[in-house]
Amino acid sequence: MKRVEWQAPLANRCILLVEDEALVALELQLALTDAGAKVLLAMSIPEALRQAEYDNLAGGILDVRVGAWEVFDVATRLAQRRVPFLFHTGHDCDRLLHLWPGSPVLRKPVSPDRIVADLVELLRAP
Amino acid sequence: MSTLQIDPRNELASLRRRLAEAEETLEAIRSGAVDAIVVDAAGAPAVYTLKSAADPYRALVEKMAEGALTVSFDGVILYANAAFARMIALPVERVIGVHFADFVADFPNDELKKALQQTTRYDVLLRKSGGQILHARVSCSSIIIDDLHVFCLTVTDLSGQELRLRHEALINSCADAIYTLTVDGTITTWNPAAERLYGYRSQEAVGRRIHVLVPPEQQEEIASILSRVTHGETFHRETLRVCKAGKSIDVALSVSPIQSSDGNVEGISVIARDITDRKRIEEGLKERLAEIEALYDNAPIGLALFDQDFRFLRINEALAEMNGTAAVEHIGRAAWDIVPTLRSGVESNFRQVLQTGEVVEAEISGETPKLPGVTRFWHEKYYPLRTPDGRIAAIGATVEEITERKHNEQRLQQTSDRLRLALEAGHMGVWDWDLMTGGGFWDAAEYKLCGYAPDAPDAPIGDEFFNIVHPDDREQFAQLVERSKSSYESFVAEFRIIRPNGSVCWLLGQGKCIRDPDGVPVRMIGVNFDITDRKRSEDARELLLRELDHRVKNLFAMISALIGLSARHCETPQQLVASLRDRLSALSRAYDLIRGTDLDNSVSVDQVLTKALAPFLSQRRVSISDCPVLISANAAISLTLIMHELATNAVKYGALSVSSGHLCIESTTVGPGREAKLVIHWNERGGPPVSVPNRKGFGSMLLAQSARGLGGTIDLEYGVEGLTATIEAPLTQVATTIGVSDNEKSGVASAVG
Repeated sequence: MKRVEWQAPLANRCILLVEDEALVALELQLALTDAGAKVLLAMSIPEALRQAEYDNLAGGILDVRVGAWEVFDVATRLAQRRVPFLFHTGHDCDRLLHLWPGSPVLRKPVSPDRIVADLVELLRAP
Repeated sequence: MSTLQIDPRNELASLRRRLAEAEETLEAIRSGAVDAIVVDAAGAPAVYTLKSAADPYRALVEKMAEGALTVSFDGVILYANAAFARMIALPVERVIGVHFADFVADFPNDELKKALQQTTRYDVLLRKSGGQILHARVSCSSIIIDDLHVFCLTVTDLSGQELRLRHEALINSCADAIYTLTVDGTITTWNPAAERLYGYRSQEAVGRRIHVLVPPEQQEEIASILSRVTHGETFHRETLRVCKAGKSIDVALSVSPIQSSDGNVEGISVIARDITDRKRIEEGLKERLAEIEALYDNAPIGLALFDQDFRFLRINEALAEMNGTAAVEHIGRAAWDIVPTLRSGVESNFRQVLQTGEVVEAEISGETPKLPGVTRFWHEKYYPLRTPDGRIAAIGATVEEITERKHNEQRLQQTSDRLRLALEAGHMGVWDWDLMTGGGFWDAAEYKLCGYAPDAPDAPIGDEFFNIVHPDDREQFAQLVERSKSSYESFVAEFRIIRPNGSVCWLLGQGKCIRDPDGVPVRMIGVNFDITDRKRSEDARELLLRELDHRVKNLFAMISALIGLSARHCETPQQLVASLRDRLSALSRAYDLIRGTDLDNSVSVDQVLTKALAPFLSQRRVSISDCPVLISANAAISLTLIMHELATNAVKYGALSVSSGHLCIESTTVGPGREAKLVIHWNERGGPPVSVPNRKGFGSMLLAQSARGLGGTIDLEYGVEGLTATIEAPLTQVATTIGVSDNEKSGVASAVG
C-alpha cells in the first residue's frame, strides 16, 4: 500500500516490455505498473515488432533472446524511432554495447526496482 | 779328251798335276810301291805287276788310314787297300774286280766316269755292305799307261769330321748358352749364346773356372756338383748365375757328363737358358693367382664350385662358415649332404644351369646343422664355367646370407602394417609434397580424407592443395607452411578443406620439411587427421555451455521474480516460505526433465505433466493421458508452472481437496500443419462446488502470463462439477527451441499434426 503513495516516476509513460519468461515478465510488469507506467508486454518477437510501432512509446526493456530469436530487429526499430531502451539479458553481449552504445545492458538476475530506476534515468536523459 | 772344252788355265794345272802324278808314279814304281800296272789293251786289259816295286811302299799303302784304290778306265777296281775294305765292310778279295760305281750311292756309273775324268776331288756317299751310307771324299788322279787310263783314288771317311762341323754349327746357332768344362770346372768351349747370356767373350771365358758365373752363396756347392756329374749324374735345375756386368740372372741349367767311347768322363757339358722373362711372368702369374686366391678366400659372400654331379670342388671360408662345416669336409660331397634341407631348393637350380647354360638366381631358405631350428635365407646365383670349346665343366655359385635382411624386411612390413592400421584407425592421411616439381604423393587414406576416389587424377596433390583449403583458413595455413619451410620446425595447423562435394571437413595437419645437403627445402611430408567430429563436438559443447549459462541466468531471474511476486501476495513470512518452496520444487522438477535433454525437443507433454504433478499422483485420483508431442525446455517450464498453480488450487479448494474428487488431464493436438495447436484439458470432478474468484489473484495472473509465455491462452471455467481449464498453444511456438532451423521446426510440426 505504501508503494501506491510513492510518487510514480513513470506516470503515464508507455513502456514496451519484451520478455518471454512468464514469471520475470509478470514481476517486471508489476514493478513498472507500480511505477505508474503503462506496460505493453510482448512475449514473442512478432508481438514485440508490432507493439514497437505504438505511437506513444516512451521506452523499452528488451530481453535479448526471445524464444529462438534475438531481439535486434526490435532494438533497431526502437532506435530508428528514437525510443530509448535498455537490455535485460542473461547473456554478456559486448555486441549490444557496440551496436547500441546508448542502451544500458542489465545482466539477469537484477531486481525489478533497479531496472525501473535505470529506465527512469534513461528516459530522463536528453 | 777331244770332247772336253779345255780351259787353258785348267789345262796348265792339269798338265802340272799329271806331271807331278807321273813323277809320283815313276817314283812309286821305282820304289816298289806299285804292285801292278794294268794296261787296257784293245778288248781286255793287260795287268803288269811291278815285281820290282819295293815292299815298303806297298806296306805304306796297305796301312793307310784312308782308303786307296786303283780303278780301270771303265771303273773296275783293280786294287783296294784294307782301309777301304773296312769302310765298305767287306773283305778285300770281294772288293777287287767290282765296279767302283756299285759302292757309290749317289752317282750312276756314267756320271761317275765323267766325274772321275773331270774332277780330282769330290764327295760321294758310299754304300756299305750292310746298307748304311758313308759320307766320303774321293781324290782322284789318272795315270796313262801305254795309252791306257788308270785312276788312282784315295777315299777319306768324312762322317766323323762332318758331324763335328755340323755340331759346331748347331752349337753356334743355338739360342741357349752351351759350354763345356773340364771335370775340375775349367771352361773349355763357349758358344755365342753363352757370350750373350753371360757377357764374356769366348776368348775371355775359355780357360777361366766356372766359379766366375756362380753367385757367392752357391760357391761351396760347385765342387760337389762337379763331382756328381763326373760320376755320371745328369741334372737339371733353375738357379741364379752372375753375368760379367755383375747382374744376377735366372737360368735353367742342364749339366751332363761328356763320356768317351770307353765310358770315361772326359768333361762336362752345360746348357744354360735365360729364364728371367719366364720367371718374371711366372712371378706375375703367381701374384695374380695369390690375389685371386685371397679374393676367393676372404670374400664376404660364399663362393663354391661344383662338378656336374653337384659335388663341391671348392668352397671358400665364408660359405663353409655359413654351412657350419669345415671347408675340407665339403670337397667331393653333394651340397645337400652338407645341408640336407636345401636339396629341394638347390637341385633344380643346378639342373637349370646345366640345361640352359645361363645364370640362375634364387632365394632359398632352410636350416643348417650349425643352427638347427632356425630358418635362414640365402640369395644364391649359379653360373656355368665353360671349357674353351664351350662345354660346361663346372657350376659356380655365389651365396649371400640375407636372413637378417629378411627379418628386417618382415619387421618393416609389420611396422608398416601397424602404421597403416594406425593411420586408418586414426583417419590419418599421409602426403608427400615435392617442392621442386610442385607435385607429390597421397596415400589412400589422404584421398579418402579429402573426398577423392583412390588415385583420382584431379586430386589436388602438392601445390594445388592450397586450392581446397577453406578461403577463411587459407592465408593462415599458407603462412604456417612457409614458416616451416624457412625454419627447421614442423608445422601444426587446424584448418578446413572443402571437399569436391562441397562439404567442409576440419583437418589437423602436421608437416615437416626435408632438405637437401645444402639445406634447400626439397620436400615436405606430413599427415592430416580428420578432426571434424572433434570440432563438431567442440562447437556443440560451446553451444551447450552457452545454453546452460543462459538457462542458469534465466533460472535465477525466474527465482528472483518468484520471490518478488510471492512477496507481493503473502501476508506472513511462513506463507512466503511455503509458497516459494512449493513453486521452487515444481520448477526444480521441470529442470530435472530438461536438464538431461540436449537443445532439441525431447521432452514430451505427458512427461512434463507427470513430473509437474508428481506430488499429487500418489492419491491415484489423477489421470494423465498419453501425449508424445515433444516441446521445448522453455515451454516445459511454463507448462510446469501452470500445472503447479492449478494443482495447488485443486488441493486447496478443488477436486483434490476431498477424497471423492478426481482430476483428468487430456492432451491432444488439433488442426493441420503450421496451424496445429496443443490443447490440454484440465477437468476436475467430484470436488466441492467452485465459483469464479472475486479478485484476480497472483495465481491467476501467473496462469495467464505463463499461457502467454507458451504463445497461447488459458481458459478457466468454474463449473458446478469443478474447475475446467483449457490451455491452447500453437505447436510452432511450444515446439520451437534454440538452434532448430525452420525445416526442422516444420518437420516437428508436421510429424505432430
